[in-house]
Amino acid sequence: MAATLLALIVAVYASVATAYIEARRRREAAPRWARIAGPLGVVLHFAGLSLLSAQFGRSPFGTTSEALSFLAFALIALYLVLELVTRIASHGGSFYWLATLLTAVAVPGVIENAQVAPTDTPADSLRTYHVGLGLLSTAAVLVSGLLGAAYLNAYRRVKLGDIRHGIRGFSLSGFQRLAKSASLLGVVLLVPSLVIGIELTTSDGAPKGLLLLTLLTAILLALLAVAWLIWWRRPLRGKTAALVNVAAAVLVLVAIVVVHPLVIRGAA
Amino acid sequence: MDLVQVGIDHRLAPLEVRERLALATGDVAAVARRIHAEQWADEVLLISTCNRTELYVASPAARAEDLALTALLREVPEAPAAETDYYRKQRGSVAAHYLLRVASGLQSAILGETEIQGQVRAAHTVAQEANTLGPVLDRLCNAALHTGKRARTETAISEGGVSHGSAALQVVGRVYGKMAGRTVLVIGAGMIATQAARSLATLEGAALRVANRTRARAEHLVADLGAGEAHSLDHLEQHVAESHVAVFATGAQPLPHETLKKIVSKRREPLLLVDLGLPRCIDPRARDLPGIFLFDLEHLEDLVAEALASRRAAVPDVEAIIDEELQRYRGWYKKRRAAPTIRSLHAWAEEIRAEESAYAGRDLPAETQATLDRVTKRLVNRLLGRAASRVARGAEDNEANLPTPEHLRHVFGLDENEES
Repeated sequence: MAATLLALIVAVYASVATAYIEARRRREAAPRWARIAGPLGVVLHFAGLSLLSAQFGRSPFGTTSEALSFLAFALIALYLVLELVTRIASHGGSFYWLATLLTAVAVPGVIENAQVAPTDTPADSLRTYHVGLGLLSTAAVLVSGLLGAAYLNAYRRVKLGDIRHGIRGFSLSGFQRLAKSASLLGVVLLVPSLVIGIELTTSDGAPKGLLLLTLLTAILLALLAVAWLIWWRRPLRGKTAALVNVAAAVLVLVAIVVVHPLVIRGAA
Repeated sequence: MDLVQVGIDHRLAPLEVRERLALATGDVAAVARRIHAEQWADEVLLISTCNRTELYVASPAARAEDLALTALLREVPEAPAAETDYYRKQRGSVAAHYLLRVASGLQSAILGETEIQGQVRAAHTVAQEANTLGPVLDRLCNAALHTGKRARTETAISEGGVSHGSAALQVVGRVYGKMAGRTVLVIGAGMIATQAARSLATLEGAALRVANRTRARAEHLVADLGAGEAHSLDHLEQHVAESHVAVFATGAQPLPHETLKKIVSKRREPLLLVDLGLPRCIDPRARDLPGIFLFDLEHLEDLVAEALASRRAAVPDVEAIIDEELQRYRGWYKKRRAAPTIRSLHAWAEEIRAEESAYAGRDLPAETQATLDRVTKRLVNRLLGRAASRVARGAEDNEANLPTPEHLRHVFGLDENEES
């Protein structure tokens, strides 16, 4: 049931993404059904993850595929929070497509895992929270990085005076508000993640590489805090803030590709 | 009854002629009422804007165009004679098609401009209130307004700015999105500055300031706009520092580069500078300063060219919408044409039915007579229903294999019946 739901969600995200992109191409606001179906998809995604967790008696991100699906959920949920806070609903297309991609990549693994019988291994709640918060903060950093990149592109075009072929909804100020809120969300999520990371690192039997991961979390926190401060206090320096957001996103990708496997290998 | 349109517009008549025919907003209803009172026209609609003065009438008169033009010229004695080439006279579908084009912005001086939609709506309301509208023009006005709305939402006919002022608005949108709580400063009070100020005054929630060397001219512009504050150039540095958007349309370079650098160093938020001057009012080096976005005439002209090209490209799509809506209107109009014939047919049949029913039921009890009446009525309605609907459809779709109202009149001898 959970696996089916997590597979079905791909179609929901894909159709919402298409509707957003088509609306943007036609220079219109996203259709009403897409603005309802999007959050509904997130609720269904959450229901799927909760069912998965109940079925196996563990976190819904126990395997790489599940973690990817959870990351997609976090990404789109955070985007919706930003949309709600800033009331800017023009950029959903890219985020829904990213969520579609991540969810689709996760589907085969999720279905395969669903065939395996649940294990009786007791769950380590602190580690579960750490991974969960880590995934949520990863999503926040990625969102802020993507918005930072969009701001830089818009900044470059406006600076050069080339705003032809403009798309309705794009404004530098809008990207600034979105990136500022995304940076703050990242900070809010990274603080508890860092605290738990430090706790785990100092505990007995901490896996090798966890220290590096915690250090990276601290750096990410610092970067996002700096970005948010610049967006907040010196919007004139938006380009610098956006660059910091992009740097944080690159760092998070490095952490996923290089450091995370080290931690997994260390734990094994 | 046919639809007729007469009038002048910017394509046929120069400004000095158009202004002689222009009617004050308050006079439109009275003129329409007077023409309607002449009795030769059943319905009257008058559109009077800076680019056109047009009279639409629905009239059974054979030479309704001439009557309409004479009536219009009688109202405006200073207008050129009817024999001049300034006037456009159209009839039937051509006139209906024309109004749909007008509402869509295809007949406007600036292709796709949006004001005309409001002007057609206002003319419709005035005619409604003056009681000079009937079903033909009311339906046509609604069709025109619907066409205009479709053209603007379904195509790019009204997208982008096609003047420096509206291009400046587009730039403001790209930088700030919404301008509520922000300040716009226009430096200068000449023609270009006025045009820019007019566009920028439409920014919702934004505070407008106009600064000019002669403060009185700035005050005059502000009074004309009905919004904003007027200033001299004495504290220009401070005004620019307090603004989010500064539009320069003066002959000189009022702000040296060093001053601009000083302003930027103290700012928190970006500053959008729009330079409409020729020679340029702002040193192009300003573009290198962080948080400064500089747009000059060249950039704005690129935007205008892009918008115009996009609007021109949208014309075939708008024409397709117009054809679709015109087809719908013509269908309604033709169907309406069939209505009197169908009514005559039913009246003729009812007359016969009533006679025959009365004759057959003269010795029958009242209850049986009522049943006979009911049955014969149903029978007649069912027998004529199909013929009537085929005639209505034939009139609407113009299909050759369907009967027309004339066929029906001929087959049943309705004309003879009416004469008798």
